[in-house]
Amino acid sequence: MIKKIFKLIIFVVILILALWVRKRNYAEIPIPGQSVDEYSYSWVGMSLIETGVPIGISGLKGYPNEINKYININRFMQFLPSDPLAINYPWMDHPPLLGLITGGYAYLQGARVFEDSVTVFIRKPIILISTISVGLAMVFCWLNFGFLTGLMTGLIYATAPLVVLSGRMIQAENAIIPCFLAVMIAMGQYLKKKNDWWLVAAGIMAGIATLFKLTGVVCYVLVFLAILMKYKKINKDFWKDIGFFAAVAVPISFLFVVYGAVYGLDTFKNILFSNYNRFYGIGPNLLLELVRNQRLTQHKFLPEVWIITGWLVFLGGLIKKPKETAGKILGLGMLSYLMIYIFFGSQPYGWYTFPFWPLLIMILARFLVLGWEKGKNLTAVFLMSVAILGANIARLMGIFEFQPYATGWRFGVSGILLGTILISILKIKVKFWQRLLLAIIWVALIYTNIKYLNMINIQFWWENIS
Amino acid sequence: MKSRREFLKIWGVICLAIMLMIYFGLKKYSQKNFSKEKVAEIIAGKSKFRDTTTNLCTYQILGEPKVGKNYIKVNFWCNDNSKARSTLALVAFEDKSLKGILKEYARIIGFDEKILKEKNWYCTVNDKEINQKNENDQIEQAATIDCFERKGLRKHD
Repeated sequence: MIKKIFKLIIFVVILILALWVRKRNYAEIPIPGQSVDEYSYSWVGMSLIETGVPIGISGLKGYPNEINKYININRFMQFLPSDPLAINYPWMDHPPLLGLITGGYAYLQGARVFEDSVTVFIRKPIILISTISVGLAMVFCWLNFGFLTGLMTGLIYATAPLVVLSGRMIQAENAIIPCFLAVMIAMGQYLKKKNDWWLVAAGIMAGIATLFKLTGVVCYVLVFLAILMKYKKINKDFWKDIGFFAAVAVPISFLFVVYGAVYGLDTFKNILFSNYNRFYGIGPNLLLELVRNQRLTQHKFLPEVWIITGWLVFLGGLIKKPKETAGKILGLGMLSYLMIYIFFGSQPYGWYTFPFWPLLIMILARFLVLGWEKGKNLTAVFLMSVAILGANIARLMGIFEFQPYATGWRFGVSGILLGTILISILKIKVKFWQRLLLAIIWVALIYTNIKYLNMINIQFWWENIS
Repeated sequence: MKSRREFLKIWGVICLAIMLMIYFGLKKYSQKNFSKEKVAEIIAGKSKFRDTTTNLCTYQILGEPKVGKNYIKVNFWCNDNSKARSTLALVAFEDKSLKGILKEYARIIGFDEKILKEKNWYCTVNDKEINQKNENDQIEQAATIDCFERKGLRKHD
């Protein structure tokens, strides 16, 4: 009992940490206006409440009403080259749920015109949603792999700098993530316990995910594949489960069509096709870009070593094929979203890749913790940990500032490598020392994550990131 | 769960009720609350949270819109040698009179347009003075409006 309470306290502490790092400078970083979608989503919600008609930025063909206007909210046009915003109504680019959350919050704070919906209001709900995602990722790992993997996932997902910054952006993907994670949790439990209520929960969350954006359909794909994995063939039981899930989820997704019908199904259909025919800007090299270049927006790159190593472990896992059900769900989740990403791909905006990140972090955390618990792939675990540490240190100090520490680094890292190789060849048991070393490195990783986050202010952003 | 069939019956009724509520509720709500004036107000209304400036050379609009010749330049020149230079797409201006352009520019930047008269700003369009006689004239494409904090002030780099 005491152990359980202690674990719960740690869980809550990590959530507080996640919220704290997300909240710091949240209204200034990422620079407001670098993605005007953030405003657009909120304007859609605000206008829906105020006028009963959604009004937002689009520019897609097929809208009956377009107004071009300079809306210099947060005075972002002072710093960013800006054209007039193409404002359309009734806005149908995406379902309105995210807009209702962020715009609704701004409305409650007194915002009544578009210029009122400043980032200090509209970003607040999204940092809360991102923090919930941290909690859900932890819960999935805790339930399926044990507390330690949950803890590791929580610490990484709470503090990885790119993930923290992305978690402040009002993008539908940030709202799809908790739904996707909830579906993964529900499916994990359903496959384990065979209780129909878990399938109902998966259906409700999958339906809600599509009310944020149509790419939320990834939840449908995941459930389809997970049930197929359960039965290993398309039989009567498979169809029963799929039918039941769909009967729960589809009516929720259908609410978007009902909503579209209020403003005219012709416009709804035109925008749907217009969306479908968007420029395929992610290009044929999308897979390489996914692994190599992490972005926040279209042009703002912030390569994140946690994500890159996550991809490496995921690819390794694909070759080895996971044996545990939860491991398979994680893999299927990645592959499901990869399909959606490739199919829906338009411009290479960073936010389209956000849903990969919690999954990659869970895969990485599982891999690291297996090294800790069972000494599995120890050399690779040390190598990954040191790779992340090195990249984090490189972000904190320049190559010349690093020189005083070079000797320690040379001996330390090559010594660790030699040590782990010898341990695995000679099968020496030094569990305590292995764990101590790993613990020191991992504490340093989280510390350097937070230290880097603390460095990011407006000046640092313009000089180093933009 | 005892019976999936029983659950789905209740679920179906709940979903249908929500769908009808959204369809008819939203339709009625939008008919009651929507008007073109409200749209104009929500899009271009002045924010109560935004600070207004009295230094007209502090803020500008960055960038060159890719609109061929369908643009205007608006420059503000201040006594302390500071300046604010903006190039704006003409399509974003509903009222294309000189007075209308300056009014909309004031909204975009966030200052009270009355300050121009109160503080005797001297404004020209393509080097011709803007006054009460021509302030209602329509602006030409690619025109340049210059406003000086005092008459006689020169453009400076």
